[in-house]
Amino acid sequence: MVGQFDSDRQFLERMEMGRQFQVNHHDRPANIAGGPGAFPSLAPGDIRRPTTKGAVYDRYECWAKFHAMKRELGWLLERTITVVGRGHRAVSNDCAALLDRVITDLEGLNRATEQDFLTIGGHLMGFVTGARQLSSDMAALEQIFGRQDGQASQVLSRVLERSQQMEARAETGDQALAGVCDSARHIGRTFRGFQDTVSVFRVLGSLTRIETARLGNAGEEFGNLAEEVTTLTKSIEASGQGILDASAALHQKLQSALTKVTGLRASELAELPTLVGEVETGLRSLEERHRQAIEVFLRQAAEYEKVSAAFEDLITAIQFHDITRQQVEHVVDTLRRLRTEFQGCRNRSENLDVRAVLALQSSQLSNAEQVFGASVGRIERDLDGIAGRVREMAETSKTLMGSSANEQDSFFLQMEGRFTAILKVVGSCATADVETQSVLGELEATVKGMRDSVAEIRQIEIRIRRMAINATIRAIQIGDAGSALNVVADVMQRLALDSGGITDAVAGDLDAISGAANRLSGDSGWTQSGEESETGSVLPEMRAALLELHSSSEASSSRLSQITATSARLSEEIRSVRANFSAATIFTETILGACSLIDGIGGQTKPVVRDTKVAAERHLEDFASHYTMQAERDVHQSLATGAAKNQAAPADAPAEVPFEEELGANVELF
Amino acid sequence: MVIPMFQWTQDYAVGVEEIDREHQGLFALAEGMHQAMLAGKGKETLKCLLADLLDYTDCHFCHEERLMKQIRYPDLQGHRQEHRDLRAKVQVMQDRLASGEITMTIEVVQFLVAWLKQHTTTSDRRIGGHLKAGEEVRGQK
Repeated sequence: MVGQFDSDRQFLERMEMGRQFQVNHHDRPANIAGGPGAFPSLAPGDIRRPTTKGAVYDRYECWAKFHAMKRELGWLLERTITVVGRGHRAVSNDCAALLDRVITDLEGLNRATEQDFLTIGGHLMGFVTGARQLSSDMAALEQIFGRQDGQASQVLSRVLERSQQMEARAETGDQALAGVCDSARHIGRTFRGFQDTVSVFRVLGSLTRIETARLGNAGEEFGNLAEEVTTLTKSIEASGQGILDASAALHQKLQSALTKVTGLRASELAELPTLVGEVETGLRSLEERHRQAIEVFLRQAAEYEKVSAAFEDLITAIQFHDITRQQVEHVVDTLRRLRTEFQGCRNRSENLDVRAVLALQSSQLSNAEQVFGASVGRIERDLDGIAGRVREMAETSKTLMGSSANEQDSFFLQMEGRFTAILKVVGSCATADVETQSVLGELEATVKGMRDSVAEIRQIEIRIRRMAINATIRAIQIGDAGSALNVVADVMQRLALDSGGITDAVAGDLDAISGAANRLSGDSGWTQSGEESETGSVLPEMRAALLELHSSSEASSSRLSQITATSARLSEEIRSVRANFSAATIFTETILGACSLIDGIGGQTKPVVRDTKVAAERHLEDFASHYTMQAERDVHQSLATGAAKNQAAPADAPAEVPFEEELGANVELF
Repeated sequence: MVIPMFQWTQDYAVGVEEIDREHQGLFALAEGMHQAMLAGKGKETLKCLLADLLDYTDCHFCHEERLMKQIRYPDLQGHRQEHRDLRAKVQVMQDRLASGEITMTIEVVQFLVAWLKQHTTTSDRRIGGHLKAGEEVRGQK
């Protein structure tokens, strides 16, 4: 570019053209691509303007503006350096070496800080994803808690109610079964006495046969009597034995059922209220946790808003880094050209103040350091804030989970254990109920068989009594010879009456057993009761409700585990990134060192002579009109109005980072 | 995008590629269970998880034990016992499940993850350390 201008006048005209371009561009940005021919450094076709307005269009505008101004700045720098070179032949090669060092330091600084910011930028998406995951997990957890609100206590109330019914039923069943057992035992004892009666019948049959034989022809009519007595005796014996056997079997089964029901009452059923009580306590605790959770969610929703805002701030702060990077780059460009001039020691004009140029670069760097320091401070604060908030989320979630140091004691694990225990008791009750119903079914069949046997015995008794009456009549007709048979018939009749008494007693016992069995099967139980019997069994319904409660519990547990883990991981990652974020210290040290060197070099240069001072100031102003960023213009303005760089902001006061809208014409943003 | 809860990371690396790959599979099983539990469907997945766990550990433990034999790992018996203990525990869980006890998902997943983390970062890592030490010795010779 140098050498394109034949005179300083042409150079100044070119600078003016650039300044005008900048002004026009700011006023009417759309004009930039409207006439590339009006701006010779932009070749037609270098850029292609988007057809529609929007983000791409805006970016295009920024790009075009920046590159146009960059070219302008390049010309100006080159020209300035040429002029500087003419005016300061006396600057030594030491200055060139010092400038080399500053340039190297500043370039190294930009690379190092770029790396730091790229690291943060690289993690940023992960952090945002983590924060979004937390928000979504919390919303899901709130939904779960909302769903199970009230449902859990309703289910458990039903379980408890049923357990109390079962307890009462088991108690009455226990008594009823004990009564049935007694009746069965009584039947057994009664029929063991009946065997004596049967023996006497058998003897009477023999006696009848003997007496009939002794009477000879007179006893012909008793001939069949002996046979019938023997046959009926055998029938009575068989029926009686059947009742005896059934009674023994019944007693055994009843005893078994009784033992199970008693066992159930003594163990699991007795434990059930305690278990249900524990679950109820757990659920109350869960409700309390729910209440706390809602408070936490509200708080955390606000926190999440703050986290999101902090991420936004973080992005803005990272963008500020790009401004300072460009600011440093521009200073490096200027210094590099100055250095070339120092080395070349060519004709230098006396009308540019090298000291002022260097002071300006030093001020630019100081300003960059302040902006950078403030934005880094903001990034650090934002990172600390985000890490602190997510750490708090992790702690709160841990509290909600009731996790102790040993995770095996977690609240949800305890709840799971109780659900399992309740389901086990419910299962045992169902088994016992089925078994009792089965025993009752068998009991009914047995009692029916026994009633049939009793009815048979009664029929036999009637026949024996009828035979005995007939025998008595015949014995009286025979006279004295029949007196012995008369006695036999009389005893037979009395025995039949006694047997009738026994069968009546057995029938009474059987009635008692039937009554107890009816009461047992008629009671509302676990498997069937009143209105529920129409819609299905109560137990499966309760089991399903308990399982649903457990599913809800496992979902809550997993969600909370996830929140805890995500928060802890996010917090740890942010902490780690924050710990490795050393940009501020390096930046400050390097910039202060560079400023010191630049000021030193400036001290070695000659001040401008009075005659050329006006021209030098003019050049500086022109130079300033081609900054690409507002920050650079501000620094220049500040210097021009006499504010020293150190007076711009006290060293120990935190510099305010401008808001996003203050970025102004800083076009190369992240 | 859902961030996995139980994810194998370099923190669990043993240093033996095959073993690390199989550990990743075990972590994936735990993650699958966790995802099912998040949806309240843990009980439906439990049977498959325990069966897969037994199958997977059969294969994985076999590889580990073969490697330990090859490198003459001094605590082969102790390590093998840890494998047996896990299998026994999983077997007991399967039996409980078969007997109708299905409300143990939280217990299962907590146990599995705790075991995996503990086993990979201590016992299995010692195998990797022993293997590396052996390679270094051979390299020096």
